[in-house]
This record gives sequence, C-alpha cells and structure tokens, in this order.
Amino acid sequence: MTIAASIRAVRITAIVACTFGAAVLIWQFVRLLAVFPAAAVLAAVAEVPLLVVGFVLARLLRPVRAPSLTWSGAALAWGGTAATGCALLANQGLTGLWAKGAGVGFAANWSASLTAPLNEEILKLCGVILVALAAPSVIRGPVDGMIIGALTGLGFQAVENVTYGLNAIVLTGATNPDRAVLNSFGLRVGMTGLGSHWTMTAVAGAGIGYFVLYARQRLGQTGSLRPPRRGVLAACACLATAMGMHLLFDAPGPGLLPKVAINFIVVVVLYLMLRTSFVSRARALLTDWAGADIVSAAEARTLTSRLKRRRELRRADSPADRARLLERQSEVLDRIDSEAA
Amino acid sequence: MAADQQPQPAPVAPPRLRLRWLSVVVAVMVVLTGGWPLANALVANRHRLAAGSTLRIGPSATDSARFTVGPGWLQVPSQTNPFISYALRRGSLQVSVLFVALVNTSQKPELWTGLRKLVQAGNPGARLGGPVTVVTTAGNRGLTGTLTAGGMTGLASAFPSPSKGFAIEIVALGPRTRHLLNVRATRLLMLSLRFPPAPR
Repeated sequence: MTIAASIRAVRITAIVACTFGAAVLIWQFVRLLAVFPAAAVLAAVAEVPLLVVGFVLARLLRPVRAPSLTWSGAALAWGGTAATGCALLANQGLTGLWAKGAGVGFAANWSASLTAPLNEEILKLCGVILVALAAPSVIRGPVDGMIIGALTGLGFQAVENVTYGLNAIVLTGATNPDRAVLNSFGLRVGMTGLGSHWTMTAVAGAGIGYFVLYARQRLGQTGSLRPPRRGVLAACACLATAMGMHLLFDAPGPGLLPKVAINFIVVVVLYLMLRTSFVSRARALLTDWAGADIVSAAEARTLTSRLKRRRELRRADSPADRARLLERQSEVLDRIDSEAA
Repeated sequence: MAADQQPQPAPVAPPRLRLRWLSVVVAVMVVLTGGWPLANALVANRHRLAAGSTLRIGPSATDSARFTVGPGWLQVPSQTNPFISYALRRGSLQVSVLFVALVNTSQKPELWTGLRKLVQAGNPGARLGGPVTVVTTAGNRGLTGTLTAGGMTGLASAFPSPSKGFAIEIVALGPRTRHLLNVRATRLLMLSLRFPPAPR
C-alpha cells in the first residue's frame, strides 16, 4: 500500500465515524426535535457564537501561524459528531454497569465522574490521532496537538451543550422549553464554558503532539518504527491529566467555579509554556538562518509575527511580487513549523 | 533558500505504521462504543423491591418526595437515578417516576401541557386524556389522565410539590389486556406519594 492510500484509508475511516456519530445523535434526539422544534433550534443556534468565537480564537492562539483551516474544521467536526455520538452509547453502557454493580445511589453521585473522563477523553483524543495520521504536516509537536485538541473539545462541548439543552426540557417537565434551554445554555456557556471539554482535550492533544514529535525524531535518526518511550510517557501523562480534570469537573462536591478555574489555569499554564518555548525556538532558528544567509535580516525580524508578515505583503509592488513573497513566507514558515515543533 | 540549504524532508510514517495506528484507534472506539453497551446488556437489569419499600426521589431532602411500592415491583437500575427518575416494572407494566424542576413557581399550570408533550416525545402517537384531580393519601393534589400508546394503556399523573419548586410526574404503560390490574397497581403507587412540608 502506498502512503497516499494509507492516508486515504484514515480519512475514509474518520468520515465513516463522523457519519455514525451524527446518526446516533439524531436517533437519540429525533423525538425531542419533533415535539420541541423551536426549542431545539434555539439550543443549536445559541451555540453558534461559541463555536465561531472558539474556532477563531483557538486558531489565533497557534503561535506564528494558524493551523490548516480544513483540518481545524475536521477536528471540530470529529468532536461534534463521532466523539459525541460514540460517547453517548459508551456512557449509557458504563453508567448502566455502575448502577447495576454499585447501586443506583452510588451511580447517581459518581457514575458521571467515573464514566465520562474515561470514555469521552479517549473518544475525543481518537480524533486528534486521526488528524495526525491523515495530515502529517498538521500535528508536528505539542503546540499543534494542543490547538487541534482544543478544537476537537470545542466541537464536543458545543454539541453536548445542545443535548443538555434538550434534556433540560425533559428535566423541567416541558413547562417552558425555551426557558429551560436558555437556563442550560447560561450554565454551560456562561459558568462552565471556560473550563469544559476544550481545556481537557487541549491538554490530552498536547500529549499526542509530544508523541508525534518524539516519533518523528526517532524515525529520522534511527529509522525505528517503535513507539518512543518518551512520547508514550508524555502522551499518557497528558491523557491522565485531562482525565483528572474531567473527573474533578464531574465529581460531586465543591462548587463549579473552582473546578472551572482549575481547568482553565491548567490549560493556560501549559499553553504559555509551550508557546514560549516554540516561539523562542522559532526566533533562534531564524537568527541562525539569518547568520547563514538562508533568510534576510528583515525576514528574521518579521516572519514570526502575523501582523508584520501581512504588512510586508501589503508593501509588495505588484500582485506577482505579492504571490512570490507569500510563497517565500510559506516556505520558511513550513521549515520553522517542522524544526521548532 | 539555496538548494544546498534546503531542509531534509520530514520523515513520514510508512503506510504500515499508519494503518497499525488506525487499527488501534478503530479498536479502541469499537471497544468503548460497543463493548460497554454489550457488557451492560449482559448483566441483569432488574432489582427486586420488597413490598412496602419506600423510595425517595429528588436531589435533596427538601427537594424530594417519597413513594411506596406494593408487592411484585422491580427497579430497572440502568434507567434509575434517584435524584431525577425511577424506572420500575411490575410484570408487563412499565412505570417512570420523574422529578421535574420548575423554572419558577408560576409554572404549575403548565405541568399538564408539558406532560402531554413529554409523553408524545417518549411514545410517538401517544394520547393523554383530559386530566381529573386526584388526591394522594397524604393529601397532596395532582392531576391524572388515561394514556394510550400503540396498543398499550395506562395513566400519566403530575403532582406539584407544596413548595411549588418542583413536581413529581408518573407515567405508567402496560398491555391493554391487563388495563384494570395495571391501573390499580399504578394508583396505589401514585397515592402513596408524600412531599416534605412546604417551608414557611
């Protein structure tokens, strides 16, 4: 099998999984959609600003340049279809087992926090892994994994919010479906949105980024296909942290706000660490390349900044010059992404 | 960039490695998505309740109600969460007891309309007859009506709590051939409902 055929196999599998997940979601909620169409539309439309703002912000947060639009969208779609649909089935199964094995009282308190972290974090992470397999240039290191993970989590979070909105109609006896949906939206976006799924999958995704980085280094240096031990450790540590964040988030006990704050702080600290080291590596590379006349001094000053690159492009004399400059920027940025990851 | 300074192409995983990881991802997804439901289906999903057992439904002592079951009732653990719902069986009779949080206290009149829509959402083609007032043994007033859905009949009832902050809804469905027996068992359960006194 050729490399192209293996990549095609990954992409087809991902599309099949997303279709399956979407079908499960529709099957589970079709009756509520039919009886409460206006509230269902409200629940879905209310999530659009969250999706748009989250999508734009996550891509902006990737230092130096945004990840591919197509694969950012693919990550979002995986989170909102394959991961949510499969998690619905997996969670129903495991929650049922907790209730049967440990009793309904225990399950009422603990089944969410013992079920969702395991099922949902792994199913979301499968999407990040599939992006790494389907588009090898998209995830080259922890920063890439973190951004693609955040987008996957965001898709999951938005669709889960819609399902919670629909469930809120039932839990309030359908006495005021629109109000129930808006209350659920207020809680899940206004209060817990900053520390929810996107933070957890961002952390787990960074682990996949580390794994890819070490695997590429090992493959390049020794030609070995065995999983690198450092990569496995980093991926497991990040996944365990994400599961821990999720367990804390769903566990009964302290109020929601401290849990949201903890998750948000974890992801911000990890992001700042990864961003700082990526940007400093990128700048060091550009300084070296400027010294070796690989790039000009002006390029070394401007290439790590989106704003300065755009300014350079605006200064181009003609469309042809602009196209050449754009191609040049893209060529150097590709190399930075590859070597600074 | 000069030709001799071009970066080495980044190592790309060979197809067999990519397919190996794809197989791992697919296997993990199948185990989680199919494995847990399969394991759940293999474990018995009923818990016999002793006659006279009293069950509490609701998230806290003040926001809760109690009801008592007679002989022959089973609890369905996988569909029961004492904070929000009980799924019970008695022979072919299926009963759901639901805790309904009211968004505000003025929504008591909407309970019946909401219940009608919820039974439609749960059972396509279901019809809920006009409500009549019912009073529990403890003196709490509620509404009840006859429910029919696809060859099944039963009762649906709604009981607002004295605090008006929540309500308990009971939906019972069983085969038409055992209608009278099922209605009697449901009524006994329904009339046993007790709420904590409303805060002064």
